[in-house]
Amino acid sequence: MFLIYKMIMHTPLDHLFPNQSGTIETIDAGLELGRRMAALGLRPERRVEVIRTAPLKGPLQIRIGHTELMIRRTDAAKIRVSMAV
Amino acid sequence: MKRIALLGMPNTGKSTFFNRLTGAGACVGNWPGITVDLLAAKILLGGSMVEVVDLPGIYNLHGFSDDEQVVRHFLESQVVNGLVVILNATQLDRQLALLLQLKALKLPMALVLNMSDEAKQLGVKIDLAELVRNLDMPVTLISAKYGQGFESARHAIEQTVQHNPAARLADTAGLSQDDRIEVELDRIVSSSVSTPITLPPDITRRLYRVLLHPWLGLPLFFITVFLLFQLVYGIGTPLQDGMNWGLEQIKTGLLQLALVHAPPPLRSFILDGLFDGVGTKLFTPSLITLFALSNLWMVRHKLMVLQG
Repeated sequence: MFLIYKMIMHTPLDHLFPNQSGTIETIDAGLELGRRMAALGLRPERRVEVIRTAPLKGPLQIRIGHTELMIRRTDAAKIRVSMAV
Repeated sequence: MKRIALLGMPNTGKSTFFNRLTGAGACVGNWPGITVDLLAAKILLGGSMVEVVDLPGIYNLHGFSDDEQVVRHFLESQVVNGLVVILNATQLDRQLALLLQLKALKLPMALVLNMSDEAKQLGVKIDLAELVRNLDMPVTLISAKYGQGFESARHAIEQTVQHNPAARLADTAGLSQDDRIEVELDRIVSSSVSTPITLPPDITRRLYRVLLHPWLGLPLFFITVFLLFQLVYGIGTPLQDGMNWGLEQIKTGLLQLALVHAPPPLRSFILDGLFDGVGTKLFTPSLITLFALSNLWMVRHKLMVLQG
């Protein structure tokens, strides 16, 4: 008999590879950046997908709903996501 | 004089809408207590003169950027008869947040949803009646690019102004309040906006996959610029030659004959000075070709950058 676990991984957004997606858990970016992120759709419980990443620790292109944006790797690190593996 | 303010997120076509609404009569206005100049125009709306103010695009009413502070300051100090909020219909899931923040100001409002054509293409369905019921304000779908729905948006703004003849100040409690709108935002979006779960791989994404390739992108860019250059000359040069030929015909066939009896200095001035001078400087065919092609080139550039 097998037990099938659905593994949930918790990780910062900048650790995701292109075409991976996760659900935002927490955003720890301070008041100013946090509000800008919320206005652009980055809110807890939203699904976010990494579309592509730039080489040499460059920015990430991500998608939340119909909004696509570029985000610095250091800013993406402030967003924690959970993803099923 | 009545006054309405135009508000919205950046890149929602707010200024396109402003220009269409006000015609070419906009000028830079100045208000006591506001240190920056804002674009404003006075137009006839529903039988009375209304001043329309184009406020800078903002992401968040409670944000810290200069533009956001300008908007807040304007709303704190100026009376208005109504707010017109312009949002991108394809991104309602997040842009409605701004509308909910503005609603807390308890001012008369009208909502205009732009880029309705694009929303339809992407499969985003908006239940207008449900949205009107939830938000308790007039909502119109428009496409500023193609000019659809503009008249009904104008009508909705007229109605808002007519129903609120007395200008008033925003409820300042709404300006300092924190963003406790998450729950309401989710409720309204889920009841009135339906988004396809898997997006159709639209042409932009497919193009970007090739054009933004880590090492294919740059060579492709140079090849495209080279081809553009070739095209400009390929199309522009024959046009230029044709135009020069035409100018020469006018000079020898028309001007020289007409000026036969004119005094030599005047003749030389008109023929060698004015006509040749202006004529040889006319390289418009190449320029027009260049601008036409570069417009095509730029037409699908709409990535947003998250600025810190």
